[in-house]
Amino acid sequence: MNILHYIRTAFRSLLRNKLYSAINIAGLAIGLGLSIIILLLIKYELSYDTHIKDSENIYRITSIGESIKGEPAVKDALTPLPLSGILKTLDQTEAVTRLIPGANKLIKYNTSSLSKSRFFFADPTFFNVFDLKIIKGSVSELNKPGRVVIANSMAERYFKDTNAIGKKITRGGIEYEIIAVCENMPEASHFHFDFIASISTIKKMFSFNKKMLDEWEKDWKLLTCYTYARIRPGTDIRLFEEYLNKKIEQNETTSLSKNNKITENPFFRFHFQPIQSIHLHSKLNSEIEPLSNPFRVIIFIAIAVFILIITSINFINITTAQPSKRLRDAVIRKTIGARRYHIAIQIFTEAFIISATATLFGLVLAELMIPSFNKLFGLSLNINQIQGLQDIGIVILTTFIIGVISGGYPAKFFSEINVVNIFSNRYNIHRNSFIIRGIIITGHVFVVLFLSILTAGIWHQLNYIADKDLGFNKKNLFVIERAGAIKKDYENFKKDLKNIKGIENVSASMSIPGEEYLKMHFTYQGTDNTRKTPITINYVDCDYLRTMEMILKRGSFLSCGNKDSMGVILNSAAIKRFKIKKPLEEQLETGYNEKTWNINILGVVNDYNYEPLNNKIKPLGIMLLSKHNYFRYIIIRVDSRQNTKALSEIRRLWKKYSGDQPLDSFFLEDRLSSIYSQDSRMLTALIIFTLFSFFISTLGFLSFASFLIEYKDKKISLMKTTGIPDTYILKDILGSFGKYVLIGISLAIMPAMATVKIWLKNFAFTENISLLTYIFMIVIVSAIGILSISYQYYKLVYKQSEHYLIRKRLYR
Amino acid sequence: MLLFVTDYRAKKCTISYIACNKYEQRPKFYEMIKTQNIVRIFYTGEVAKTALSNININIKKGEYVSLSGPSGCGKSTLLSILGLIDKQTSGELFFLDINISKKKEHQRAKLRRGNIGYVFKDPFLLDELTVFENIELPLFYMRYKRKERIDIIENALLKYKMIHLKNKYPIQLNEEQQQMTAILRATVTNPSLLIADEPTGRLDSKERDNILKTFSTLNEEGMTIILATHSPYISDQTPRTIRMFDGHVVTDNNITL
Repeated sequence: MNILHYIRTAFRSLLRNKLYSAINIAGLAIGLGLSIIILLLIKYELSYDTHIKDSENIYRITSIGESIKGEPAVKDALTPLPLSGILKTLDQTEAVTRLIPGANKLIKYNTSSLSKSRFFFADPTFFNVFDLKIIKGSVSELNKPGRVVIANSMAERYFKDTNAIGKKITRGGIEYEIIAVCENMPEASHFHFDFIASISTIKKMFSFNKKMLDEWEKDWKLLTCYTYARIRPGTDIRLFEEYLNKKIEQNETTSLSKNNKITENPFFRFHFQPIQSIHLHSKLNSEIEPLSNPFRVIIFIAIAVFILIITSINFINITTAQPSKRLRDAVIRKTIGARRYHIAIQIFTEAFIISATATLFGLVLAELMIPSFNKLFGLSLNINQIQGLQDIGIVILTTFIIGVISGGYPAKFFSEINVVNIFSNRYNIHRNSFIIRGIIITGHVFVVLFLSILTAGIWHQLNYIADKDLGFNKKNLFVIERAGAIKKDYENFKKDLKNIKGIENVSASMSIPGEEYLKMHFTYQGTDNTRKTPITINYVDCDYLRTMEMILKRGSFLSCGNKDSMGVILNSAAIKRFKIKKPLEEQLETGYNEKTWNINILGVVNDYNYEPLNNKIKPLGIMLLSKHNYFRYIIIRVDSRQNTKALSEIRRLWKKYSGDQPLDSFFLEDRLSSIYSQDSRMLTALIIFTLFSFFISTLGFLSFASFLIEYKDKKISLMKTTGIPDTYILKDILGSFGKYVLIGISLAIMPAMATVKIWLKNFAFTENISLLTYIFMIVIVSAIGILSISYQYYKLVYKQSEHYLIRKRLYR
Repeated sequence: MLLFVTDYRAKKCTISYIACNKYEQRPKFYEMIKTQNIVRIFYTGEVAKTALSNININIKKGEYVSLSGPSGCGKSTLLSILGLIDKQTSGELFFLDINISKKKEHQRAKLRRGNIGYVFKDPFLLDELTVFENIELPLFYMRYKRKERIDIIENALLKYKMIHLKNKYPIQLNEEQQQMTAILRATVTNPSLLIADEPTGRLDSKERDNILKTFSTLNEEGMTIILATHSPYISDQTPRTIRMFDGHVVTDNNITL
């Protein structure tokens, strides 16, 4: 077979140039390995919420609210409880369920306890919407109070060898019977659960106040639950959405207008959000778990494409680095009868062999690197995810495309050689091929500089976030979670804590910076304007300001005791929103179920970042914790994180007051940093890819240097033999290299800066990277190029004796 | 106008009296190559160098001709033109009565394939191929079947007592063996014309004589050979010598100028 001839020749040619072949294959393999991992990552990101059966017909209903003056006041993933009742009555709805996240309460089973669990209350129809497999038991009794279904991972952890069905767990003083074990929510889902308890259990929890329960269930103003619906296939979802919203407005029994007193304007509109779009495209408040954003996917796609391009370019570079030998071979073949396509097939065969070998090595490398990437990104990527004809087809197609790209230029270049050269045995490199090689160098510089600037921009922003003054002192704040467990003994606990050496202040709070906050509606009846606005509320004790070391701008903070129970501290953003001119003389109005209260504005704090720095500072009100309020956190300011004595005393006291409740604690600084963990991971990945592109580009520069020296061979030989110093010759060579580097630099700067700017739009607080950073990056890239050229010059020219050079020229 | 219909297998070509193996069907001597006022000028920027001036030569089928002269006289240039590798600046060139002058490169390549063999001072063997595979290349490019290729090559190797070198690589051969391999590669398709440019330039006297003997054998078998050399000894071995100087033909012992 003719093809065997080409394959045999290609293998022998590759084996003859072992070093070049190895560098080529290694470069391509690493590039392919990294690209495979990135593609697995992209596949994973795009696969969110697609593993549930009929997920394309499952929607989450979201709440979009408008305040009176047209300002968007609410964009929330939560919905009012009564919404599902309306949805159920509509023909297009096949199933609907509500999901209410439970607080982080301790779950006990026998002697073991579980403190951090993903506990949800849901309607019995939960498993009609999310078609998860029931491994054991039955969910038919999920309509009864005190019933719970547990996820398989939880069952394996706590009930290893025993049957979990029928066992009883306790949470918050309520007993739950395990009625079923279900499969885990797929890894790539926008939410995960450990327990699904019957929503009717909440009625049991509120059994002491039936009126309050009734109002809670019927309140259209309170955003309490996540509502999911499986809609009939083929339904026009936009029309259905319009229909639903109209139905809600017209329905008198829902009393939408009656409850919220806004009779003239609809307050909430409900929107159907496909669950498959949540992970990448949702920008709502109250998400169950942190989400991604499409920018990351785009960046990863771009990186994968860049890596494939530069590794393919590098292949071309290395293949054509010392063209004389290949040109000689091509001329010989053409002289003895080869047509252009014979030469081209030979080169393509080599390219495909290298490409296929590199793909195999790349797959192996990907499999070896995946565990580290999983650790880095907290994922569970697996090379076995490349399965099915489609995926294998993509791998083969990529191999083929790389072979075509990598072999195309050399095939054209060498097959066009004129046979007349055989008589002179001189193979002059045409200026065009030099220009093309120069363009390849420009490409290398572009990619490297682009990635470097992007990496520097992201690194700079994350450093800025880490160091930024948030308006309070985030250092040395030790936070106890589920603090409500010692609510009754809080004052004694606090008193004992303050006696510990090294503890400066203690406070209790319903929420902390970086976590979710409540929202309440306030009305300001000003002299020249009336504004009703939902603002974020935090309930705290009187030591909060001191503990957090916030700055009070005006007035006074909440005092201990009940004196200031009808007072509020506002931040500057709230004052601005309400347009209050003299805040200490004004009041706000709030209400619930026909009742209204006037709240005195006691003071104004400076704005501080209680939300991640992605968000602007929104209006905030701080009110006093009462005996009835539940608080989640105790915040303790210690003199130093390293004060282990103080920390162990805290643990001792907690045990004393809480009994057997485990201590869930952390330093606030660490929790705030973890908000940006996805961006940090992306930065780490970018650093790896940037370093790889530096490596590949260095190979490219070295190859170009070989090519350049061969191109200028005649000139160099003459200059050396006439005694011109090496520095002058090197300068001449660097001049030819330099212009392509400059073009690459000028092409890369603007797109890189624009990309950084787009990424920075995710943040309300940013700092531009300085000009020095750009200059530094440019200098690094240029320095690597100069060093590569210099090294090749030293190896190929400087070390050669002049005698050799003379012989080379005269006796060719 | 001669029909020029070539099958890929040259031995089955249907060009009337071009490259057919049945020499007895054609007149024994006919004009292989004819030049009329060939001029070749090389341009380097604005500088023009005239390498050949008004070259008029006829070479018949079956002749064994040497082009001799000092370095720079234009031997290699003339050889490249006669071998249809290079194109003249002006003048006419006829190859087997076909006017090549206006033919494009791909047309000349077609004419060269299988009809003209080339041997140079450097054997130009491909290092990654064995002796057998190097010789096989022209047959491979002309799509001979594998069995045919094996038969032809083994016969040739046997004839020149090189069968034991069949699987050796060029690096394992001496200079004479390398040059013999190059000659076999050039003649394996039984071309009408063999062009040789200083084929013994790298060889010692004994090796040189062996190679020249091979050329003589090939010529006796009917191959037309044009050989360029600066060695008077070699030019004396050939029946006809065209001496050149500064791009002109000075003497041609076929015709004395």
